[in-house]
Amino acid sequence: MTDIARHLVREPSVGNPTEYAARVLRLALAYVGLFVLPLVGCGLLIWQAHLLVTLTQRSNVETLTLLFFLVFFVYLATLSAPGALGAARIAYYALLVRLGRDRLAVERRKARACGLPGAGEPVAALNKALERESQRGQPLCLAVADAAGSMGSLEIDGVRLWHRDARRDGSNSLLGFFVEQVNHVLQARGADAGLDVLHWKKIQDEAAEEYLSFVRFARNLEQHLGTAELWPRLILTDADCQELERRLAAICPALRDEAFLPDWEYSGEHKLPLIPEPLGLISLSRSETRVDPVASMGCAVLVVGAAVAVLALLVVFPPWVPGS
Amino acid sequence: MAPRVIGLALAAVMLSVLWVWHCTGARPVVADVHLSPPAAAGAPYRVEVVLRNEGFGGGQVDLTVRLRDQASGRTVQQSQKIALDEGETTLVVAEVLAPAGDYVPAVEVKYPPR
Repeated sequence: MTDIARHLVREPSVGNPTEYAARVLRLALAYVGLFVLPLVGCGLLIWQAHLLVTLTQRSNVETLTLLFFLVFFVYLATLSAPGALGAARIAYYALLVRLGRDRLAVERRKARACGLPGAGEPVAALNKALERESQRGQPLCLAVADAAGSMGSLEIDGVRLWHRDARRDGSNSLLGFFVEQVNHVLQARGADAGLDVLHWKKIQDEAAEEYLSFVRFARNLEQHLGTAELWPRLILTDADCQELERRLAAICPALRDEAFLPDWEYSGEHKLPLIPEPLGLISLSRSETRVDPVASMGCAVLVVGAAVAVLALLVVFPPWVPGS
Repeated sequence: MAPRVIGLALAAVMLSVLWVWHCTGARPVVADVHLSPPAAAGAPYRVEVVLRNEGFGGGQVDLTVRLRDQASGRTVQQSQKIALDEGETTLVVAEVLAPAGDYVPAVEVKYPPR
């Protein structure tokens, strides 16, 4: 279950650069779907208003339900409009490459279009401290850049992982990708791995700060006592760092695409009522500290798609209703 | 993962098919309309309508017959409710009392009934 939660909900498609690029594409498509499907739903509601109002009134369904759907669709279309615009920009740059323009030149244009680094710099709190073998006790900095330009850098100070100079809002998914790659690199040379993210500052600001302060205390105490290791740590060699920078460079085009899309970071809760409301005596729930936008927006697309499909089904095949 | 998704998709398709097969109502279509003038002065116009149900289910439908006077544009109308079974074709005869005129019939049929 944990693996399913990780790969579907928390950090989907962060295994390698190709997966990451596909993930950004799926996110863009999700925003397009979340923009277009509600518009189709609104169109159906307005075009077939007589039929749907008659159906609700003759089948003991509150007519206000239709208004709820209308508000729901308008809300989602409004919310996803920036994402749909971002998807259009991604498609535009992809089209330029398809039309034979120089890929590097297009990437540079994209980098300029991404704008300057914004205020939103994602921070994650790791379960283990990360240090460079040649710079023990020092913060570690890895460039996120390719030939087309810089997309900031990843700074690791103990357990604090920070995407510095991120474009626009930055993306927690980059941090998830980095953690996954560190595990791959360490496992490849037979070292201990098991690096994971415990808190995402964008989502749990206070809990992340509390944890980071606590770890800082532990590391200060470690220095003061001169002991080897109070807080668990992983050591990266220079070769590891080079390999990580190479992998980070490989996802730069996808990061530029992702910068065009809104980054909505939320935690999630799944509830399964065994005895439903209004009694609600027993319900099962499971929460995730982070739900990747691909998962949350993907679920929203499924819900909207199902709602539009049901509306279309009612229009094409009106249900039997009792005669008067 | 893939078998689970395929299973869910199949379940959704099955539900849709069952829904369409067992829960849908009528889809009435006007197959033919024939207007007969009054047999005698003061008698009603007789409109014969052939209705065909092309839906997978039956139900009550609203039938509205309009006679439009081509000279004045005025209409005379009459509505009635008709029960249609699955696959049924029925002849409905509507007798419309209207002043003498040059009428053109128009028939509208709606499901679900208003």
